[in-house]
Amino acid sequence: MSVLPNADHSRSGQPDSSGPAAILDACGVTCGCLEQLIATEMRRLAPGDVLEIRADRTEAADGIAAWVRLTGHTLVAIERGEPVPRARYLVRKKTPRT
Amino acid sequence: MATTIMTNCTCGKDNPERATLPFIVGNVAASADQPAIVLLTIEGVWVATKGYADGIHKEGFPPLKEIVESFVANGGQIWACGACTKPRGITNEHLIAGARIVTAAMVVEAMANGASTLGF
Repeated sequence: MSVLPNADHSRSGQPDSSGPAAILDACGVTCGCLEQLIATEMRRLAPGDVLEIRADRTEAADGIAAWVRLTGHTLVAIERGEPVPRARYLVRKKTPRT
Repeated sequence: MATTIMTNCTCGKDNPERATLPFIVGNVAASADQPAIVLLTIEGVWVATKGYADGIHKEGFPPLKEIVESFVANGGQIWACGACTKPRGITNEHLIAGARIVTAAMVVEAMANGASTLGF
């Protein structure tokens, strides 16, 4: 597992067209442990920023979706990769209600 | 108000996997900002004591000490059954940060107020 901060900080708060603010490479991480890693990274981001999560477990898709529903963040996209079930999950950090 | 997630841990060194899983699930809840409690009963109450979790590590999981600390840092509560701590000589001075000794009434109250429970 590794975290790769995005070098282009100008994207903070404007993630839709310019990609993730940070990348969490969680390949090899099992369920139950992945969620905590995501939570830690999301806390470091600004509202509206996107975290890219790279995972290679079949159950990651459902697990990430459930965790995102619980927390109120948004699963923007899932980009399937090779070898299956490797994928990239793009999660946008929620904006606090005013 | 969010539902409290209460997982029950009955094991310690006698079964590292059963000792670890309640904290894994509890930590997922806590990391999602859900109120989370790990209720320790029977041999599980030892997990609430200083130094006990050191060296407990089930293959495939993070070390128990690491998960317990993460759980507490995420706002999770550790409840140690008072009826189980007493015969084992465990008192408040033995407890790790985030842990407390509780009564059966407190557990019943939490459940009566809607806590969802899961035992391992």
